[in-house]
Amino acid sequence: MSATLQTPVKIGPYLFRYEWTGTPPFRVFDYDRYQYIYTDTDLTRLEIASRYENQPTPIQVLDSTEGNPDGVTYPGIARVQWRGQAHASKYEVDNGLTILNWTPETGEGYYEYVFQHDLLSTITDQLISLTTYDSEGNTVNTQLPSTSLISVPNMFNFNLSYDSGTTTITVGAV
Amino acid sequence: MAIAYTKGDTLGIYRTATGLTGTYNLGGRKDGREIVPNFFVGPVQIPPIVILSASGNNTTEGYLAAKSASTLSFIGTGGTEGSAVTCNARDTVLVEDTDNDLWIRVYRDTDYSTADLGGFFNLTFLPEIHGVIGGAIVTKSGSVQNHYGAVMLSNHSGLGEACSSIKAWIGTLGTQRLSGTAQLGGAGGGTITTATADGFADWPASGWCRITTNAPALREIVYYSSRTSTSLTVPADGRGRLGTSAAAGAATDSVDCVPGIRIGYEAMDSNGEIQAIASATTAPTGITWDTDITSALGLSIGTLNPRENVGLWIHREIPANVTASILMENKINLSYVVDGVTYTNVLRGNYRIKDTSLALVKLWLGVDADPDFTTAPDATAALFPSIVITPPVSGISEYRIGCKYTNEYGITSHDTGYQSIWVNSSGAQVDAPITSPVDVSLENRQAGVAILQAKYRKTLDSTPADTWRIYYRTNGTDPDPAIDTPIEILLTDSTYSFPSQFDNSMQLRYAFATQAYNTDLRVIVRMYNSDTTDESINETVTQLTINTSTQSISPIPQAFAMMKESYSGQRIGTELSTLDLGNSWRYRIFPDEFLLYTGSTVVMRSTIKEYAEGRIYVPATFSFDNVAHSAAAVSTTYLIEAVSANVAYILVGSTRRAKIDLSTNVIEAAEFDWGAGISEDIPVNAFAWGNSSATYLLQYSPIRGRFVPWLKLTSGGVLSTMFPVTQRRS
Repeated sequence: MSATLQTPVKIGPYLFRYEWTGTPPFRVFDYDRYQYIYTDTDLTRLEIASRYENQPTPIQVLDSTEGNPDGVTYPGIARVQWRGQAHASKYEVDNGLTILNWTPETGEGYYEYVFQHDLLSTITDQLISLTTYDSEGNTVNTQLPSTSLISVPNMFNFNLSYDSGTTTITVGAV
Repeated sequence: MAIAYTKGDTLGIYRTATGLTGTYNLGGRKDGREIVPNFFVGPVQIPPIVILSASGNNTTEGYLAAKSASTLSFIGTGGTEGSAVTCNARDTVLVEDTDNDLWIRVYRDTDYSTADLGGFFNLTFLPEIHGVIGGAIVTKSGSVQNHYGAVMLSNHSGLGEACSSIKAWIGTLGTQRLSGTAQLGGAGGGTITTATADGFADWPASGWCRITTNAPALREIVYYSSRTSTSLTVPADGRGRLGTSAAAGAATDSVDCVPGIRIGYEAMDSNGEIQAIASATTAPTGITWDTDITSALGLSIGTLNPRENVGLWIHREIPANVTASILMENKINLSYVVDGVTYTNVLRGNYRIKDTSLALVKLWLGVDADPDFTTAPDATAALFPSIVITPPVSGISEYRIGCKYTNEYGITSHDTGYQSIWVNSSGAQVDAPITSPVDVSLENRQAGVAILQAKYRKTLDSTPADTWRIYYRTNGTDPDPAIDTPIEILLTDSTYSFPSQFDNSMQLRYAFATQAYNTDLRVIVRMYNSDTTDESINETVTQLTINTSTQSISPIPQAFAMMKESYSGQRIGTELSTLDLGNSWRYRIFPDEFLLYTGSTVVMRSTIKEYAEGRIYVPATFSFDNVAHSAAAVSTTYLIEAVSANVAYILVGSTRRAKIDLSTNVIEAAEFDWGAGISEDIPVNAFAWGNSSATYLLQYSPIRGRFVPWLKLTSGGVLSTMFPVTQRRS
């Protein structure tokens, strides 16, 4: 017997109520924030403010008879680790478009940065680039191979249009 | 000091390179970069220590610890701690587990940190992904896809020792089974089924199966697209893979789970190089490919003297119409002998297979109902699906559209909501009706009263409702808003309509007028805007059967606040009538009440004095039981037949139809309709009156100036009262 999640009910702008049944305790995984809301709860009702006005946050509820949520099976993260260099002052991680992280050289040894898949994007291949700076501003850039990040996707923010001539409803992007 | 590049670390694995700018893994020369397992060091570190390489036998976890300011020890995957190794400034050392196939090579970088050794690395080892061993990411195609790459095996001995008896073979990925129950035919798709329970449970969800005869000899390698715990499903495109041909199987065949690769080796030329291929889809020439899964039958490469290399080619073959997978694994085993000791190593690499045709937005439609995501979608599209609807025959219908997105690996989103469009019978879109109330409930209260509750979320409507509309019927049929007249309650009516304490909604709490016992009450609650005359369109009926017998006559605190006298024993006042019924039973009638006694105990008291409304009191110890009586009365002198000090019957005609029993504290009748009211007027001045169909007990009403009925008992045993019944406290 697994948990059964009922259709979320909109109870206000951006606000939705969820109810479920099953064998407690329950785990609730939020695919918008990509993390657990509860890892051990007997609650059977929850209200969540959504990112979108008309679409509830996708969640997965599992009861005591079930295994891991898909969000754990497909964590959608990549961990990049690099070795610190003598005379380096800082390290810059970017994705080819945006600087994601600055890490100072502290003598720790190895450093890392964890990429989270952009859950609003359907692109799964992530470019990762590391630039090392010394104290005089000299740089060395290392381009890492494109990394394929697998996560549970979310439906994009959509709306509906209707053509009365053809009585056709069409899904569109907001 | 344990010397680096010795023992198991004698045979190095390097990438290959061509050209000055470096095109890697397509053959050519040996590149300076080694291929080592991916690893992560964990939060605690040994800052001066750089990890240069590790045995591929470390597949999951390892532990490198500083044992002193200048010594290290290592525990490989599944191993035990080996001897401590001294590692001084700028030393490169080999640190081994007690199992010398588990090792790690490290460098003490005093240019980076001059600190003493201290701390530890909690190591996590992982195969590379999309490197030379695994190969590039695959996109499903209708054609076979080949991928070639080469690594260089190099004797980089630190002691100038030879590395002999080098062997390479394909690693297996699941437990070997006998095909047993079902085998493939000579061609086309089919299944392979093992007789071993859960025999394929540790095999990947899709992959390759190497079929061997009991000779043993290679029969065929096939690709399976899916499996159960005992069966492999092989598509037609999966037959005869990796250089084999389709051949009918036999029950005595052995099946092994293997990666979809084969390997071959190429000796170096005089420059220490091997051939270079133009691209990863170009096959190298002159290579003898091998798919064997044992060291005995695999590649026998021979001996590499110090600084000698040999190229190891890997051919990955992906069949047409392959199944998407987030993780496919390649595995190559190595063994070699150094200084008389046999060592092993493993090359592991992963890749993904994506199927762009799986990347779809899926649409489900529910008409006046939630979309059912457990069924097949009603429409799909790469981005924007559409669906043709059928307008309603009459009125308007709500078309609820739910969407989910599935990515190119077949992983589907967990969206469960929907959006709506309302369409009328002409096929025209209309504005969303006023939001229907939610959490509608009906509950029994005392004495035939039902409480109706509902919630209206006014913030969901751009033009909110201002009125509750309650459609109800009491005849067992559903209300019809088209023809029924509703009870209207303004949202501003503070008697029944309240703002919620928890959100911005409004809460209805309405008490219906008293209904007869067993009334089938059915309600539809709608929201109404008196300016626009818009009304919500919900049709959901809420039903309640009025049942206020035993359970619903629990003490009502307000009732006791109205009591002025003690209800046990005699009261003082003008007595209008009294009669001894025998066996200690009697009744007494006062201007505003009726009392039925046995001894000094008041069994029933009916009062009519408060605000012209009445109430009937019985002892708190009494309970009520639906027991039908039909025995003939022994005495019909009175309509209350007192048979003992504790037992009396109320008669209808000459038949006992209700029983009052003080020995068990029970009043019994076939049915109770407490507080249902008595519509008949009995124009007699007596405590009781009856005929063959009903008996009435009466009391004097100071309001009306004459006797009125307060209790009715029918020949069917239905006992009803004029007023609500309360159990008194003593």
